Amino acid sequence: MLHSSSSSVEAWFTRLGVDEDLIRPALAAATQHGADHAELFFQHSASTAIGLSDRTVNRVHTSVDLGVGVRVVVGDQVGYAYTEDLSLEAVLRAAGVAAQIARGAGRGVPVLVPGLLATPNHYPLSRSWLDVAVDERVPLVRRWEGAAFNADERVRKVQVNLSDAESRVLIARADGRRATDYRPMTSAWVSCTVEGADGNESGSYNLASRSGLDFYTADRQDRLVAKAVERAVRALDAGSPPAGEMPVVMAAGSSGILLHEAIGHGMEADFNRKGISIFHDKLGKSVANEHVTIIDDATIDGARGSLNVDDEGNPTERTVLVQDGVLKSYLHDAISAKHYGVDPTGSGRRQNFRHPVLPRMRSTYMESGPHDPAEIIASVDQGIYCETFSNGQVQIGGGDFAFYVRFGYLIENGRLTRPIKDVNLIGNGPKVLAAIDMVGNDMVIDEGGWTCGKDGQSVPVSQGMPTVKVAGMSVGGGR
Amino acid sequence: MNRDLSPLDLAAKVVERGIALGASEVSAGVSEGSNVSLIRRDGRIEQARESTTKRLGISLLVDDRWSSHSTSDLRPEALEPFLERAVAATRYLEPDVARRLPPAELCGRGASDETLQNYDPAYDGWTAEDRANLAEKLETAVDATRDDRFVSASIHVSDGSGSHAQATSHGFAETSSGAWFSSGAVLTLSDEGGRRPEGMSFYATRYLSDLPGVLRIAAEADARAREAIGSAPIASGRYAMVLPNRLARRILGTISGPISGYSIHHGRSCMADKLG
Repeated sequence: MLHSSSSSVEAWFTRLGVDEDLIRPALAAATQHGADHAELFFQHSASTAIGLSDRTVNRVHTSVDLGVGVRVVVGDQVGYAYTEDLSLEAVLRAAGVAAQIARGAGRGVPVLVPGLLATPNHYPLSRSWLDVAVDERVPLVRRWEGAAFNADERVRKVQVNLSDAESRVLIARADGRRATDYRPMTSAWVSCTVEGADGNESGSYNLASRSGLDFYTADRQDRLVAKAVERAVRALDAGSPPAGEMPVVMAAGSSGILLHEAIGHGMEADFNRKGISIFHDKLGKSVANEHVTIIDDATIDGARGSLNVDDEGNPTERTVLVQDGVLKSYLHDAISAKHYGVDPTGSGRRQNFRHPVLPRMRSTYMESGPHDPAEIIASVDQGIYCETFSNGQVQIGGGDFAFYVRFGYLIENGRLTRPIKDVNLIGNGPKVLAAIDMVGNDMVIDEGGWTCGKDGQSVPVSQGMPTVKVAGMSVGGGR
Repeated sequence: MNRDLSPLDLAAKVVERGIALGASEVSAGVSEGSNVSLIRRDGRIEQARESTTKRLGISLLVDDRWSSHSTSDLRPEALEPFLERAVAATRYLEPDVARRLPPAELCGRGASDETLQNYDPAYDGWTAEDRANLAEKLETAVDATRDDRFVSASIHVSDGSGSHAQATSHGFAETSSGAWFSSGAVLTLSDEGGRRPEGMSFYATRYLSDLPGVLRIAAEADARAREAIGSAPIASGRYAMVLPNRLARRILGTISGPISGYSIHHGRSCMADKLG
C-alpha cells in the first residue's frame, strides 16, 4: 500500500522546489516578530470528475491546485497569508505578511528536526488515482447507468458522477517538525428519476472513501445502484407524517448527521473558548443518557473523515467526546489546546492551503448501546423512523437545529408501516441528547460523502450512529 | 509558455496551444486577485489574512466532446502537460453536439470596465491603517450595545480586487477588473438555560462609499441577536410566512437551477415549457 508519510511526498515537493533552502528562510520570515507557533502548509492537489446524464458520458473536469499557506500564531491571534507561487520570493512575501500579527523579537532561522513525523496509514490504497486513466473510469459509470435502467422499468432518467482526488501536503513548523500526508479521496453518486401514476420521483445514493479504484467492489457497485433505484421507487408511494411532538427513531448510519450538526459542532473548542457554545460550561458534566458515548475518530481506515496527521502537523487520534453521558473533551487545535492546557486532539483542519486551521470534526459517531433495533421500534406506539437525511443546520450558541429527512417510515403500534418523505425535524441539541432513551447495538459509519461547512471552509467528514430513539421531537411537514 | 506573460496573453497562448493539441474550440480565462481580511474580538485583531491568487480555467471542444479544467499551477513546465491531459481526457467522452462556444458577437456584449464601473478608485487609496480603523470603529459601535447579556462580538472587515482575462478561439479577448469591500459583525448574547443566541449583520459592496455606517451594522446585529432571545419552537402547522428582504437571495436561488439553459435543454426543468 502507498504510505502517506513515505519520502515520496517529500520528494514530490522537492521537485517543486520545496526544500530546506525554501522552508528555513520562510519560517524565519514568519517568526521575525516572534510567534508561539508558525507553520508552512504546502499542498498539491489533483482531481478528476466525470459525469453521465441523458445516456451520455458527457462531462469531465480536471483540476490542479498548488500553493502554500503561512500561519503565525501569537496567543489566540492568527496572521495568515497564502500564495500559489512557490518561488522563494513569493513565499517570503507571504511569510512577511503573516508575521505582521506579532510584535515581539524574532526567533531566527529554525533548525529542522531530522526526518519526518512518523504517522500511521489509514488510507487503503494500492494505486494512485493519477495512474488511473479516464478510460478506466468510463466503463464504471456506464455499468451503473445500465444497471439502474435494468433494475426497474419505471426508471426514466439516470445521472452518474464519479470523482476522485489526491492531495499531497507537507507541513513544516517553526519548532522544526515536518510532516507529510498523501490523501486520496473518491466518491460516486447515482441518481434515478422514476415515473409513477401520479408523477415522477427521484432518489439517489452515494459512496465515498479515502481509497483508490479498488474501493468499488462488485458489492459496493450493486448497492450504489440498488439503493438509488429503491429510494426513487419508494418515494412514489411515500406520504407525509402527521406533524407535532412525537417519538423519533433514527436509523443506524446516516442519522449521524444529527450528531454532527446538533452536538458535534458545539464540541469544537474554538466555540467553547469564546464562550459561544452551549457546551462551554459542561465539561465533566452529564449531558446525555448513560447509554450515550460519542467519539470523534480520525483513525478509521478508509473513512472520508480520517487523517494520518492533522493540518497543523499533529498526530491524529480517536477522541472520546462523551463517555457514558458525561462530556469528556472538546475537539482541539493548537490554539484551543493551549488555552485549555491540554494536548491537541489532532483536530486542526483546513479546506486547503488558502485557509487557516480550525478545530473540526473528522468521523463522528455514537457507540453502540444495549438495545436491539427491533426492540427500539417495538417500543413506539406512534412516531416516525428516519432513514435518510439530506441536510441540516444548527445554531451553535442556542443548540437549536433543523434537519430535512428525505425518507422514513411511520411507526404505528410498534411496527414500521407507511413510507414517508420530506419531513423536517426541529429540536435542540442538548435537549435531544438528554431525550435519547434507547441506543441500538448496531452502530454503522455511513458510507456516503458528507462535507462539513464552517467559517466558509468545507472539509470531508464521516458520521455514524446506531439505531437511536429520541423520546420526543418536533416533526414538521405533515398535512 | 513564458512565466511573465500578462493574464490576457497567457489566456491567448493557452487557446493557441489547445488548438495545436487538437481542440477545435477553446476558451481560456485567467483570474487574478488579492484579498485582505481582519477579524477583531476583545479589543484586538484576532485574525489577519492576506492572499494573492492566480488561476487558469479552460473549456475545450475536441471532436464534438466538451470538457472543462482548471489549475493554479501556472509554472510553464506544468501547463503543457496539464493541457495535454485535458485534451486527452476529453477524447474519452461521448459527443455532445449541442455544446459550442457562444457566438463571438454575444461574448462581452459591449460591457467594458468603463460601462460596468466595478472598480472603485477609492480602493487604490485604501490602506491597511484605514482597514484597521474601520474594524476598530465597528467594534466600538458594537461595544456600545453591550449590556449584561453580552457574551462575545466578532468584527469582520475585508476587501479585495481582482481581474479576469478571457480569450477564445473565435477571437474574443477581453479583460475586466473590479474591487469590493465588506464589513460585518456577529454578536452573541446570553439567554435562559445557558443558550447563546446570535445575531449578525454583513454587507459587501463594490464601492467603499456604499458600505453602511458602523452604527447601522452594530444596531442590526444587536437587534437580530435580541430577537432570538427567548425564541422557542411553535406548534407544527400551516402558517402564512413573511420573509425579510435579506432572505430573497435564498428564495430566488431555488429557481436559478430550473431556469438555466442547461437544465431546460436537457429536459430536466419544470420551467421547460413555461416561456412566456
